[in-house]
Amino acid sequence: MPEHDGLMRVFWPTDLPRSDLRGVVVGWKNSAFDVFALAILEEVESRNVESALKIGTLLRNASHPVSRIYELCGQSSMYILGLANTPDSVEVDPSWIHVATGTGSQVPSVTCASASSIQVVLFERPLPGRMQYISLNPIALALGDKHGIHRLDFPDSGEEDDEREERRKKETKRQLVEKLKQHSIVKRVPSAKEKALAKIVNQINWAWELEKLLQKNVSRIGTRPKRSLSVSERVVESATTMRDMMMMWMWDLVIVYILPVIKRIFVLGLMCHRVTAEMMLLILEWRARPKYAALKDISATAQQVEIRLQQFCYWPMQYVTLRLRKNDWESVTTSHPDYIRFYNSLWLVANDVIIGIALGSYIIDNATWVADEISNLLTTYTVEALQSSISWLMGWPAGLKLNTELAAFLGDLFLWVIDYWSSCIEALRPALPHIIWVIGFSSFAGASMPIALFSDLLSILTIHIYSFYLASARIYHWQLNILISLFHLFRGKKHNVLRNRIDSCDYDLDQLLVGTILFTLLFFLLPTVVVFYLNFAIARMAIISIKAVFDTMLSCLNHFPLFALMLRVKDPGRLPGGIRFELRDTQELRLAAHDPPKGHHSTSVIYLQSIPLNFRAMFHQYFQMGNRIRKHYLSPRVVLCLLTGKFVPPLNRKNLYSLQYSMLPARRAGVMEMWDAVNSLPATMRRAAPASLPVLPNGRKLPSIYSGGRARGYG
Amino acid sequence: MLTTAPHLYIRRPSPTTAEFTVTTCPPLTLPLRLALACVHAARLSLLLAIILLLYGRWTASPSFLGAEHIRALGSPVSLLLAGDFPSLVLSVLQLLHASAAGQVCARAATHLLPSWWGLAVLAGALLYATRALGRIHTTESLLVLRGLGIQTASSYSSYNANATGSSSGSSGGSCVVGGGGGRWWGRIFGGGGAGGNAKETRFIPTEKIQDVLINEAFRGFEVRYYLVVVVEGEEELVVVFPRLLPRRRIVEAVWRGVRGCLYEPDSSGVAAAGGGMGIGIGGGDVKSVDEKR
Amino acid sequence: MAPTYNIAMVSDFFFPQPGGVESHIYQLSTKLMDRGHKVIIITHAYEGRTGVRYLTNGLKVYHVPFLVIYRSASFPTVFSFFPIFRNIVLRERIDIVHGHASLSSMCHEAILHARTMGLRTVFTDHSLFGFADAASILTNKLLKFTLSDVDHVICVSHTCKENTVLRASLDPLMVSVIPNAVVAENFRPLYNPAETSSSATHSFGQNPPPARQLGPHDMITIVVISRLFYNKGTDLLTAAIPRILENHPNTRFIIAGSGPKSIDLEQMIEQNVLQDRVEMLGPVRHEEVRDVMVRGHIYLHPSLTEAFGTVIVEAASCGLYVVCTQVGGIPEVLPSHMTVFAKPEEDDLVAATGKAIAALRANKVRTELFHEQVKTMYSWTNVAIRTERVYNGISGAISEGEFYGYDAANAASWSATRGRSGVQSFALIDRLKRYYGCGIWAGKLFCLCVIVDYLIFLFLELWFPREKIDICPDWPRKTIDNRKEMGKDGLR
Repeated sequence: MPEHDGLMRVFWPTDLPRSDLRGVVVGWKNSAFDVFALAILEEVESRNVESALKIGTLLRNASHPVSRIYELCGQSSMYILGLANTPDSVEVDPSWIHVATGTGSQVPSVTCASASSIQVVLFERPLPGRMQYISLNPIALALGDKHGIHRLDFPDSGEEDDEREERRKKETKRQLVEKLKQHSIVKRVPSAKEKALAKIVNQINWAWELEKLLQKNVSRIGTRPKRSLSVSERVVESATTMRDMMMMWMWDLVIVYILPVIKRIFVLGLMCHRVTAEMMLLILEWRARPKYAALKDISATAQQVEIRLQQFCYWPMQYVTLRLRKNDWESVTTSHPDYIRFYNSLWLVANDVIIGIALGSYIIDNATWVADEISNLLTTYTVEALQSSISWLMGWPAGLKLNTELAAFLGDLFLWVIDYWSSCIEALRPALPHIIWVIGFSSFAGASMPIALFSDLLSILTIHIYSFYLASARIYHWQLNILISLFHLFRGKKHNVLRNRIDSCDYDLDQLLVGTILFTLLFFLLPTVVVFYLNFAIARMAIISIKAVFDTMLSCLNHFPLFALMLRVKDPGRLPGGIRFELRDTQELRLAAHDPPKGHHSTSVIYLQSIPLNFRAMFHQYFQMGNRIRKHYLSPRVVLCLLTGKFVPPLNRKNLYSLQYSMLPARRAGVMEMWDAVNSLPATMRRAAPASLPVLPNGRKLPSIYSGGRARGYG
Repeated sequence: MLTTAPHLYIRRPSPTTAEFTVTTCPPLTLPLRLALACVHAARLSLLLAIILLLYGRWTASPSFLGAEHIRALGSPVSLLLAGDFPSLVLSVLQLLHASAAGQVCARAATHLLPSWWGLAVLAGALLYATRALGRIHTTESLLVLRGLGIQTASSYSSYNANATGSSSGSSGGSCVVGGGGGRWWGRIFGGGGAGGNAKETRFIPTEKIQDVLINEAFRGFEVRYYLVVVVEGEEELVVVFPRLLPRRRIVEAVWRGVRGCLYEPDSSGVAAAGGGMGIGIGGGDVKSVDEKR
Repeated sequence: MAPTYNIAMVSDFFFPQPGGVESHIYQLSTKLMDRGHKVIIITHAYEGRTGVRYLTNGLKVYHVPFLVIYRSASFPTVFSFFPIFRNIVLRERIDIVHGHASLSSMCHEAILHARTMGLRTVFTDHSLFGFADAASILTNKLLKFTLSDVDHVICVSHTCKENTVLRASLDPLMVSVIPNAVVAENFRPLYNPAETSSSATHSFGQNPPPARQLGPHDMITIVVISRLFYNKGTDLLTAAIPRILENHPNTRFIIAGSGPKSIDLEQMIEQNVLQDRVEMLGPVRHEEVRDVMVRGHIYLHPSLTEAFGTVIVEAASCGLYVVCTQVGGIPEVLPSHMTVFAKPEEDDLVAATGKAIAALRANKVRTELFHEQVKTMYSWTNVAIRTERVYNGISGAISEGEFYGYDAANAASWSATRGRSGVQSFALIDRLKRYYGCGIWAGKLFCLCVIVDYLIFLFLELWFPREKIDICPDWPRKTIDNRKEMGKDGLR
């Protein structure tokens, strides 16, 4: 395969300072004809630059290890790429590029002796100080897909059909992708240029920091004109240095004596808190058997408490990760999603607490009124409306002729239970204002608490509706089963339970007669039972949908990507969602160039830009959750369950966990791990002393505690 | 007259970079620009009509009649100088409301549609019409960069597309100006996908491209040819020009161009055979392929 | 140079669904392509298979997304297929539309629309139908509707021709009989004669294949391969198996296939405790059929109705002795020394099977010669040549006299029958005249349908003009260079 085809590719940052001075272009060489320009070093000779690059003078005084740069940028050293603004009479290497950065246009004109066509890719350097960067793939705001681990947690706890269906679909997709791979006729070997794209993205992220470093060290190359300071400048300089030294002395006092004590106390408090949190979490997550539900699965309040506790456990680990970030180059981008997640979590909790305080004070002030309202609502809807509907059904509802005796029996049964229930509720009524007061008080811990408590309160206070639904569904289901079996008897068939199929069967005459009579009886009794069942099923579905609304509000409060949204609006460069290229018209270039282009180079100018994350991707988890809820409640399966009298299971809380786990790790760090992590935080670095001590006007030097010298930086 | 059948424009500044644009926007002549300006004016007037309708309805409602302080506002200029923007907006609205068109809208709002629901429906319909007017032309493009990858882009607009439309290529200056103006309009009315001129792009690095093919499929009541990129690791194909789905001649021309430009010519000549049409072109000129040829 | 045509085969039944009609269409298309024609297939979409596909020999299949109602037949809306059909036909530049299977609504619609568009049409019928029950009456009326205006009809056996002619009131000269065929290489017996003879020609002194000797107490295996539906006689089988096994102790059964009646079979096995003597394999794929067949000595085919019975030929090709019911077109298929016939009753079936078992035990039947005999009797190339002759006839490449074989003096009387002229004209009024004769009420209804169809055609010409439809590039066609070899068993 030919190594090149005469195409020279140059990556050029658009925000390099433009000037007319001669200079040397320095950067990465990804392959023979693929170069990445980092900086233009002005007023230096190329020979000196070459030797400086070999020795490494240009990367002195770096605050962090230089090997990291080489590792992440995928190259072993930098090279001279060419000359800038240099007339062509100078003897140069034919593979070097000549760049003319006239102040006319933003685009430099690039020529190269040994290439027949040139691709100039221009890009704007992201500022690592503001945590901007570009990426080929969208930033992953959620912690990775943990379906594999998810499954381990619930091994045989009855995966629902939807999850099985999803897994099957994933499996078929994977097989399809594997099969696609076999359809290529010609297997192409990617060229060096194509393979370099991932490294080049890293190089773009490093470009700004490296250019600053290079320009800082330019003075070390060769000779530079030096200028001595005037007297006033010297006075100002010594005054500022004096002030700096005073401040540094006080700061050191603080660091050495006061700060460690505070830190110790804080760490101890944190550890106590962590231990209590661990105990509570164990209680909340305890399962009698793997199939049974834990406390957090049943109650919304328990789940909310669990989320908060897990967040508290995770914050120190996140904070440690972020602190460690400061010990590395600014251009390392791996911990940016963690930063966003951490602050998102903090903001959400703060938001929650603020809304909660407002809500709580309102509730506490109006506790009696709220309690009255709630009890009115309850009596109207859960007691009186139900009673009136049952009485309506006992008559002939909507003109439907039901079996009077059966309807009366069922109606009286349910009415009696409701009477008993309402008397129980009446006994509890005096306690309601206190409960409301407790709820209001709890909302100081966050607005999600009262919502969770209301959700649980709703479940408890509508238990009678749930039990009615269960009972009537049971009766209906039995009746339907018997009817189906007798219908098979009509056709001369029988359901073979062993083989799970419908067999033909020879019945005796008396069997057929009795079967037919029973069939007719049950068939005519069916509408009555259906009507009662539908009544309670609708009530139950209404309650489930109210709980779904509560759950959605909770997940909004807990997992809304507030921080990410704010960042997207304020600084889209911090949330990269991919890159895009734009081909610019080279006519502009032709018009701008003053001298006729040398040789016959066809140049294409391409702009590389970062695409910020789009809103759909940010709310991806929400769409997934919404899909899940919709599939659970509005699927044909649910309709079938309703029609045949099977129980519609409430949405398993496990499905809502997926949203939660995208922000928290599946397995939380243990107590000892946290202890190690917190203690491994490096001590606050003392600021480096000024490089040279100024001479006081009276000729003496200042005494200093820095005379011992200390290793500052590397290289 | 405002739109045509999809046309293909090819831009090849060098043998290693090519951009294939298919657009329904006809070459921009003066009558067409005037027509497009009329369309913009129609959009503006529709928006104004919606605002005036809502304002007119609000003036007739009891909440407005009780709000005394709103009615006594100064002239817009003084409010502008004072920097009081909400009041400025209100006073401008009052001025417009007092005009003839405003009175017509107000009367329509109060008499024909007394309920807020009907007004909401009408406002929704007018908004939809505004949006539809902003999406007269569709432009889709495929950018091929040897050594980097392929990028597909798709957008709606009723401003001129990126294509220059003149086959000589010497009008580079005018096309830049036109393009700039269109972009400025786009920022006012478009904005990130809500209105028109939202460009959705997708970049696929060459390493991940398994193949570029032409396939046929059922769409509605016909069978169409379409160009597709098979991306490694994904189960869905990436369709190039998904909204326009141009005819076979254009799709074939693009396919040949892509194969010629994307892959370096092997010694075996596999790519060269397919790209024979493309390699000869160079030097920054713009070619257009017409459907009727 | 003989003319070549662009042919579209339209049917609801095609791969991936296995079956006789499907493989008939496939084999015929392949051989027609070998003769230099262009063939495409239009069928409805199956599970996971929608769109345009190329099979490995260059055959293009259009799986049109359509609603399927029952047993792979699509929903019969009369006109909704027209736009897509017109688009496909125009882009492929089709001359002849060939529909298969009377149960396929897509085929009937395609014939109707093709006539409206002015193309030649052929219909092939693969099955027999009754006349008495309600479903048959309706289907026959619909068949009359479609076949009122078709250029030619092909049936797979003479019995099938009688049946179709009666059902649709056709002129018998319009119907040809071209039987199915079998790819004999795929159905070889166990001893595999291909290994002994290297070239296709028979040479002198070639050793005859060794005879299969059966002792009086050797196990005889009876193989049944069919879809287990009522019309395939599964009830007969269920009743006959216990009696056969009781009468003949050293026999066993292998039953392959699936369907609603398989439960009855399983129940019968369990009631009579025959699990060690009856083996049910479930559904087998078409490639595995031969392997199942060579495990047996006798093939039992208790079908209640059958137009051709390709599976019998396959069984004979594998060297099995065939016991079948004497219904439909079965007697035309195989020579009498290869089969034992029975009436479609339980007693007769048991007796016939007994006869077959006795004959085998006495080694009177030379089953090892069956494969070679079947190979000479049936070949798909022959079917393709005969079908090509039909195409030549309807498109006018052969004169009418030569094609229909009637005396030129009787030309007037011939065209008087049912208003046909020799080469069907496409004018709307002529077509309406043909449809009008279908019945008192039905005729008027059908004419209305045809008029609506024509109006829809005009509308489509306006709305989707022809210039906007891309023409497909063709798959490279094969050229025929050895016509002489084909000629000897061709035109009759």
